[in-house]
Amino acid sequence: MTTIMETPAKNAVQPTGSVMVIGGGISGMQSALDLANSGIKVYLVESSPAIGGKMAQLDKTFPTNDCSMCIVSPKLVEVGRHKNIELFTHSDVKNLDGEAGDFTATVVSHARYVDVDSCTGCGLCELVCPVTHKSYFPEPVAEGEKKKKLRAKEKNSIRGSGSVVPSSSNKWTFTVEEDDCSACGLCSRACLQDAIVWEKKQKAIIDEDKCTGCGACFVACPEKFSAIKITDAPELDKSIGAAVHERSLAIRKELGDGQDTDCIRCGLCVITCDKVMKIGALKMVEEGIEAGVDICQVCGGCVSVCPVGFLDIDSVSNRPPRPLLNTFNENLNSRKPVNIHYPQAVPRVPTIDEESCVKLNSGGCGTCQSICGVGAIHYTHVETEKEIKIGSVIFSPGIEVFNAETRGEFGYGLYKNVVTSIEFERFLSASGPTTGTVVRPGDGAHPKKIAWIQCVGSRDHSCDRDYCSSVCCMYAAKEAFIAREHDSSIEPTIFYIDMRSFGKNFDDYITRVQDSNVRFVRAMVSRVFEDPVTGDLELRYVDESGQRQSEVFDMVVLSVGLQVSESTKKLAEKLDIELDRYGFAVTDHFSPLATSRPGVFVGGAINGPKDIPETVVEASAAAEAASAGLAESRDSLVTAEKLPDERKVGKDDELRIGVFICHCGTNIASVVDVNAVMEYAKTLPGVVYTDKPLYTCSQDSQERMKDIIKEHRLNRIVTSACSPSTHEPLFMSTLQESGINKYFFEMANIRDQCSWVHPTEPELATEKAKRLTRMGVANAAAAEPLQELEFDVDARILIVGGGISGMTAALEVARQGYGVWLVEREPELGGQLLKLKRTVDGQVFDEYLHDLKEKLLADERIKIFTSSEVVEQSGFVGSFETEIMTPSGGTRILQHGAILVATGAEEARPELYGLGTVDTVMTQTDFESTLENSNEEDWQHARVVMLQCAGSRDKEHLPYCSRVCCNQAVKNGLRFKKMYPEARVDVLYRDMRCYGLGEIEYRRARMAGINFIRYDPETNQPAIIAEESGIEVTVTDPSIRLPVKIRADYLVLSTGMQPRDAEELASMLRVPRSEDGFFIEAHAKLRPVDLPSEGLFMAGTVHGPKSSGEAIAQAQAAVARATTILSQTSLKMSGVISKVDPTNCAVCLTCVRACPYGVPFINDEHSAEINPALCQGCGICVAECPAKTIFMGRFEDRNITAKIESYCE
Amino acid sequence: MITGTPKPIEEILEMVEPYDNIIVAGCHGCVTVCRVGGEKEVQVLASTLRLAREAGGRKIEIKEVSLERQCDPEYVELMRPYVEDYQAVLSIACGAGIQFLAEKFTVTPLLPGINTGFLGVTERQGEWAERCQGCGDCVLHLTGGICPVTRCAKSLFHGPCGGSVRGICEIDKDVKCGWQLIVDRLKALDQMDNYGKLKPYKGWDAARHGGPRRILREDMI
Repeated sequence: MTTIMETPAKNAVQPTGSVMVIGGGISGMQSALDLANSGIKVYLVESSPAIGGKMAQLDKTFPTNDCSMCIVSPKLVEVGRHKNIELFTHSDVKNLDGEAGDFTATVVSHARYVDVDSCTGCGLCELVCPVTHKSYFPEPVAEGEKKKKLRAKEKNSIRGSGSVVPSSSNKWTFTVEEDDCSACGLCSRACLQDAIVWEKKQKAIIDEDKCTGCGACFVACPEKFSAIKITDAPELDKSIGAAVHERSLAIRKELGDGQDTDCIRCGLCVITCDKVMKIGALKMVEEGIEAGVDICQVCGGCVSVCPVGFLDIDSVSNRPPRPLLNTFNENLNSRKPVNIHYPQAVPRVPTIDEESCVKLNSGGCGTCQSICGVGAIHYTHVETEKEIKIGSVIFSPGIEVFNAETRGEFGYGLYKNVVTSIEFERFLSASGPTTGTVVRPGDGAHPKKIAWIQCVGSRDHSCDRDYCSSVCCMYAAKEAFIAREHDSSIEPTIFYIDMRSFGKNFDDYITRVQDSNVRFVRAMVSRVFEDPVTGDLELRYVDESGQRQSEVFDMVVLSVGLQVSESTKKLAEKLDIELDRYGFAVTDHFSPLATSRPGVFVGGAINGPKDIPETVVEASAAAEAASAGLAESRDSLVTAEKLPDERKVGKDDELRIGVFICHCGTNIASVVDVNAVMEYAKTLPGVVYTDKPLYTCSQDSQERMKDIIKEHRLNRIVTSACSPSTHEPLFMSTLQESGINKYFFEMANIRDQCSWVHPTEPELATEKAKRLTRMGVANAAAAEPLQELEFDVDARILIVGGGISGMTAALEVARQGYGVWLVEREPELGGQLLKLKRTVDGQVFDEYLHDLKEKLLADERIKIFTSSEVVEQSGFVGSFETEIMTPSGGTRILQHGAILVATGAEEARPELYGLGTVDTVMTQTDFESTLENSNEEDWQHARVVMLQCAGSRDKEHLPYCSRVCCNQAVKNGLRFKKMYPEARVDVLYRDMRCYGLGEIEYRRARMAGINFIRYDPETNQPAIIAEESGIEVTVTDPSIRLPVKIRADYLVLSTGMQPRDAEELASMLRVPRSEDGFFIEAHAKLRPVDLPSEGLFMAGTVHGPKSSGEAIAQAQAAVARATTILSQTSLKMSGVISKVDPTNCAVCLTCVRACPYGVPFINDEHSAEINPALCQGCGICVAECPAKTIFMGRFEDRNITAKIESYCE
Repeated sequence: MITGTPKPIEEILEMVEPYDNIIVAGCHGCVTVCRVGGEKEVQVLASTLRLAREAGGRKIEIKEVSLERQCDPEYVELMRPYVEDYQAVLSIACGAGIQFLAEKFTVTPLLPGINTGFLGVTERQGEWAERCQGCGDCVLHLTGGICPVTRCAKSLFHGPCGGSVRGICEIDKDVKCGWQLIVDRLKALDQMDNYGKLKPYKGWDAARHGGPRRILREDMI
């Protein structure tokens, strides 16, 4: 348990410089990125087919309402592309041997049947796959036995409202091969059009004038003869399944998609059943289709290929259909057996489901393989095993949601309009099953009244979920708010016990939600009844006045809690790490990421329920903890990039542009005439080479591109393909590998912005593609090589603040192998922790601090400056310079590559209820300290009243929630009761915010006899008289609904935390603080310890109130983030940055005000100046400058005009 | 600085209707800073006019220039070599600049592209407020640094009128009472005695009431 604090004994052998991260959710991804960006090789193992985890499933995120997918997707791409992260998706860890620094893990990769390296993620396989249901596959044919044709005993004739009108739309031509015909006449009997001329012992002939092309003859002709041949069928060269798909699509296009009509006798269903699925349960008859319901395997193929929606699954079979459901969409819609996990998945590679794929089970079909342009589908794939050497393991498997069926009284699973919160997220999501429309699953109606029931599977002893899930209050408020954003007529009501909005800015968010007409009712719903006719739901509950209430809602959302899955528990067992009774990892207060097995660390919700930012903090912290012991092996296993020297291209050199028009399989080529675009590109000025690869992005195309660049001495490259946001970096790196400046690359998006949006207008789309290509070529011709600034990194960090966060960070940076300047304003290290006594589990802070201090003093990489302050600060990431004032009054200049702000917070001391004047009135911290020094006799019968939110959540004092006070009150209450069992404690509270596992302590406190009385500052504010002679509190106890009078010996105030004065420091560092004085992070969700400026980080209570354990985790997280900089020898900045030409600068300050990163400033020469190392290249200043004197490479007027002029040509 | 707002494009189009080639002239001074008459606005306005005229079937040729300042003769003279090649000059400098051009280039018609506003400050990006009316006789040292001439809607000199309610002026709920601001500030500075030092009446002779003004600095000539 002491892993993080002990410097590991020098191993005889060097540890392995790699880490295995188990679980590819936001936690695993963050750990992987932080490690890989600091020179540690990462193996990321994810059991599902794609990384992303729960966060990818969410619609929006609180408290900023950012789109979850939009913010996580860049992380997905970064992980997917990272050279030092090896991804193992659809894989599990089977075994972990060895010890810290030298583990061997066995990873099992399940058969995916699609090759991850060659697949380009075009999604065609999923599109053509005809299967929609899990089949009842026919008994496999025994070895050596001949396969018998299935014979139906039970038949169902399917007919429409009118009679069948045969259509010859996109007809195939059927002919009889004379040599093969056995003259059996079966085809003639099958033909409903009287189109076959046959007489006994005569070979059949098809009368093309009468034939409508239904293929009845083709199906009827016995397989051994196969005398009927098909011509004029597009895609038939690939497979019959591909041809069926193609014709179905063509008919749909012709008739107008979505038009349900009577059978048009196209014959596709029958051909699919017989020739693709090898079942033969369908037959065309005069009145429609005859289905052999007992032999139908219920795969759904016939229904999905029917272009007119004539068939439905229930009429073709007598067995219950088993639809394939999309687990990513919480089973709210369907999927195919071959399926990309979700649209933005990384890797964007489908997986074939072994249970439902027809090919894998009965040998039929195989359509997907036949159409895959890169040959990525392999039905022969088998499970593989790999042994991997690693130094540490990060276990971040995440959580699943509570099974709401356990709470039967809410009717989940029985009542269709009762859904879980995660299902509701999918309803809200634009990429979800209803594309963002809120509907009742029961009848598709738009609900008006929606109720959220909180704590379903949380804070519930009855189903062994004693803990609080920490996130439900906030996500319910968010869902209610967003639902109203989607449809303002929705009236949401949230039923809750305590509103646990304890995080940073959470209370403000709740207020905002309340202001947007979301009703909050403090009550636990006892039961839900469904009206079987309308599907409406009646909720029964007891309100605050004790009255029984009943109210009808259209829809109910159950705020399900988080839990550890059984498979995670089993995996933990294999890893040999200790879990608590709920399945959460057992860790120590002072080393919050270390498990019971040295070298194995945890991050995210496995370490207790938590929201995304805290997960990200822990993920970075786990990365730090896992890599500290491997520091000496840093960079030993990662691959460094070596690039050839850049070829110089002069201004007057001949333009030699190469243009690549991508087919993207059929994504582009099915709509756009790629050949025509390529021929057109040849005519454009400066173009000397053109090509049209099937997939320009595939590995072999890229290799070929390099050869072509050399062979044809190309100096500009244009690809007309897909989106630059996903593919530009790839193409740019190919240019660099060929010795061409990467800014000589230009991309035209003829897929997302052309073929995908104009599928029905191929000619116009081709014209558009030409024009887009022309613009790309024009811009490439206008391109200039840009240089990327490179500078050295100082491998030391400045830590401002020597509390628990700063001290922890200092030690960890040193363990990572880098130097530390630790600056503390006070004469002594320790900060607020000096005033606290014990952790929740009873460990003594003083002892821990003492040990920590010893270690800091002993480490020569750490230089400590106490009684010192920062007075001046300059420089930029990698190369900062800071002047500090030392106790002697002298100054000293420190150089460093990163900055960590850990200036902390202190307990507030508002002048309330006699605090500071009456001896018996004290703060929680005073009480903790007094208690520690009290003795047996003192308080045997003492009466203590604790007042929560004393000056917190109060506009007059601290407007925010300080997060720690509820837990601190419970901790002190419990210790007090333990020491003096006869004593009495009453806690007056507004909401007990004992989030996460703190709820268990809260429950213990109630069991120990501590009274909790809820008050409300508006309706039931306690009247407190506190004098030396005694304390008297009068308040109404809502549980008995009567006023009570409590006489107490001590009044303990939970006053909350306030940030220490850091205004000057903030302005020196040019970083923003909130109104409350806490520093504002770069991104509330995904960059919780980064400050907005590069190279600046923060940790601990300077960010917001938090416990010491959380502060330690944050300190480690900040170190992980800083290590990604300190571990680099040099940093390279993008070439696309803003430059000011001072000649025309009007010093109007527009750029200074417009820059979101605060980079431009007015220099001594009376001109705006932009530090290239700080510029993020967003271009806002360029667009805003009224004097047009700011320039940015790649986006100059020259470039834009080149494009526009070329467009208008 | 001197502030301004762009004229509606319809009005400008009407002004340039008679001409087939014009100059659009910006200024690198105040109007650049308040974003109505800088290099960028010149380009945007010229492009808009060209597009509109082309759409109407009658093209217009436009030369785009931006002078360092339109209120200094040396800079204005830079236009002289080519100004007569054009039928008109559309200036988006302040009224002073436009008039100065008109004065210098006697045969070329001058057109205003902006409405000149007031002497003001940038309260935040995109928001300006009036602070000075150039009355020629400053009393800010007595009024806590808040100008009664500008900030009081009536330019009163002896405290608020009956239209001041809870610090708000009766002309608009978003306008603070200038005198309330002055008194609050004087109290905060503990300078309430300044209130009594104000002259019983204000001489407006140094203000606009004496006709167009001129400043003559013998020491500089």
